[in-house]
Amino acid sequence: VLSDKSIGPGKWSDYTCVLPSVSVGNVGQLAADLIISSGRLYSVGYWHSASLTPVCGPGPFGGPPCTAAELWESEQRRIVVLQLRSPVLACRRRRFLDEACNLIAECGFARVLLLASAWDSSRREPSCPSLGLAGSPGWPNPAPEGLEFESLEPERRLSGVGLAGPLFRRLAADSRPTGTALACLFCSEGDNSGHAGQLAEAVAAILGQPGLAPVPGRPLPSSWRLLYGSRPVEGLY
Amino acid sequence: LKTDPFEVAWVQGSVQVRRRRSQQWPGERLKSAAGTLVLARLLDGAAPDGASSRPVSRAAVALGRGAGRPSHIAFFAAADRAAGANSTVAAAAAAGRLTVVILENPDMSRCWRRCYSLSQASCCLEAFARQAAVATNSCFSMAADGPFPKRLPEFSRAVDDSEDSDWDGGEDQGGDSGRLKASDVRSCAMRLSPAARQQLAAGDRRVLDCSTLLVGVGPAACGFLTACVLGDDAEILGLISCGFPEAGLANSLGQTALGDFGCFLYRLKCNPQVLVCHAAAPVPPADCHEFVELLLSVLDVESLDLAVLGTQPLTSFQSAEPASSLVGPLLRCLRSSAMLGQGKAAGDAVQQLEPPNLLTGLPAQLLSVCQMRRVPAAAFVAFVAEADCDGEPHRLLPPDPAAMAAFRPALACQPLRYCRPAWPPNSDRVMRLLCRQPGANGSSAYLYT
Repeated sequence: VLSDKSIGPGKWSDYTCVLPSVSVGNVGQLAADLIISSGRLYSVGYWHSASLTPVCGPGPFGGPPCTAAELWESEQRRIVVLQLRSPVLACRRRRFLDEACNLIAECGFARVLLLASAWDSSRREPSCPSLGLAGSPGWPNPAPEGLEFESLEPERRLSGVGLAGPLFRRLAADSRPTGTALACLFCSEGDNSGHAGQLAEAVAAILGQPGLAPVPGRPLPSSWRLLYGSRPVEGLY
Repeated sequence: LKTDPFEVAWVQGSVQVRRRRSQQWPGERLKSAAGTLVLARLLDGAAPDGASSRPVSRAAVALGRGAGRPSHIAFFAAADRAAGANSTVAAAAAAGRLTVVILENPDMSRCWRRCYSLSQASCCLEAFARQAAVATNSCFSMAADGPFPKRLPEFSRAVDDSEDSDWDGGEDQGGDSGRLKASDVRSCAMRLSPAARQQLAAGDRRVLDCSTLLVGVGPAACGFLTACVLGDDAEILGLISCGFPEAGLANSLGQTALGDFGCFLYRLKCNPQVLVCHAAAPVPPADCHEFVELLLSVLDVESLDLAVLGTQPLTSFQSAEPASSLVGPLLRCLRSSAMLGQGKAAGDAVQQLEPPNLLTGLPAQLLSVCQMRRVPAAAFVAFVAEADCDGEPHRLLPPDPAAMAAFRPALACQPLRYCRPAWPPNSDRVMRLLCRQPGANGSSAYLYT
């Protein structure tokens, strides 16, 4: 981790790390952007990893350029978001899991909340809630009262979640962090901005931080401006 | 409206539709509410001659974007499209729970055979098939007209199903070439000239004297740097080779042919503090990290200014204007915070890269590392026609002059301005670049490949 701030052992020992996965519709990553915007997190550093596809672009919130992996923090909320902006290289998935687990262990997070999305067709029943949750033995009941969700078995293989599944199983088996949870939204590809909002609201409920929920009327990240392409040519109709 | 446990609303009608050849849609149009736009294409293809397709298509697009639950799509066909289709769709949307709207169309089964990219469609067809087993009205007769369409595979722009469904968490299986174990074997190697090695050994910090590093990625950027900066008076300091780790060695410094795929490092004799790296050979994304680490390992990063030039396809440039209206080449710039903070970007002539556009590949890796390590750096990316981009390894054609000329405004910006580039470039030098052939160093090695 490269940062201007000093990040020594124990710096984030009582924090929750929110880590999205590249999954169907990029819902986890979009939700992480909403959390950063709504929760007013600030950039504290970058994660320099050889396992991620290199990307660099204008800052999505108007700040410095963004890279493949960034760290955003809120001291008040005791939350760190490790935002991933590019997929893991296909030949380095195992290495990515190792690096991610090592990073989480070094930072000393108390809990890790993985965000992902899965194919709508992988739901057991169409009537099941669109939100699925799984918790490690250290965090067995991540859902608060009143949140509708489908309980996911840790060993269940979901299609479209990317590396969230293997990472969850790996972290759940480790002694650190204390607790790991996976929040997975079932959806299909399309305009997934609504799904991102839904997942961000679920994260706010799980963490007991209502301020993390998207605020209506708040400007969206500039990187969302043409997320689904430019407008079609009128003459095509 | 009738409803069912699958939250599908059925609207029945009976119309006759004749087929006509559908329009071709640009691929990027499928990005927004993907299923809906492809759907509109199907509908346009089913429209009778002379009928206006605008109301139907617009309704479909609006439905797909405004439905808020894109897990299903709407599809319909009608002879009287302006009145019948819109009113039907409007009524269904007003119900607030619209997922599928179907009007009878005996030709619909043939339409579906051309629907090859809609995962949502397969979900609709499943629900449709369940209903067909129990419904008795004529709306479902089309299912019996021909072979029922088979289920379509789900497609995601983000993930490849084989990544998570087939991978069991085991060891990584090779790099981009499929032959390497990326975690074990270095995929890049650097070879330095005797003079460079001597300079490294002589200094306390084991770095080369360099205050400015210019990196060209791709044939056009390298050609531009050669023509305007490098000149004929440059010293080869070393090269970096990618993809040949078995020998553990880079190519020799004499292997300067296009097909040797070496990325050379030059020093300007007229300005020894300036180094130029030509990454004309494609560097795979998996090797970018190691390439940059090798390159910066011999430089004093703390006193370095860096500029990287590269190209990307014009079709990848995202703007509010349709892609068909873009006229390339376009030049954009992205600077690190350190360069902006030092005021080195003041008065620059190149437009900033607008979000949501991104840099990829080697320019992205270079700028990312510079951003992380607080190195003043600028990336100049020219969006050019696809044929001029840093392409596949076997493309050995000379660079396009138009693509090279796209970088001209960058000469007025830091740090290129510091290097006192020549404009216009020497015409003989440019001609040699454009006429360069594979094996121009006299070797006929390609006869045996």
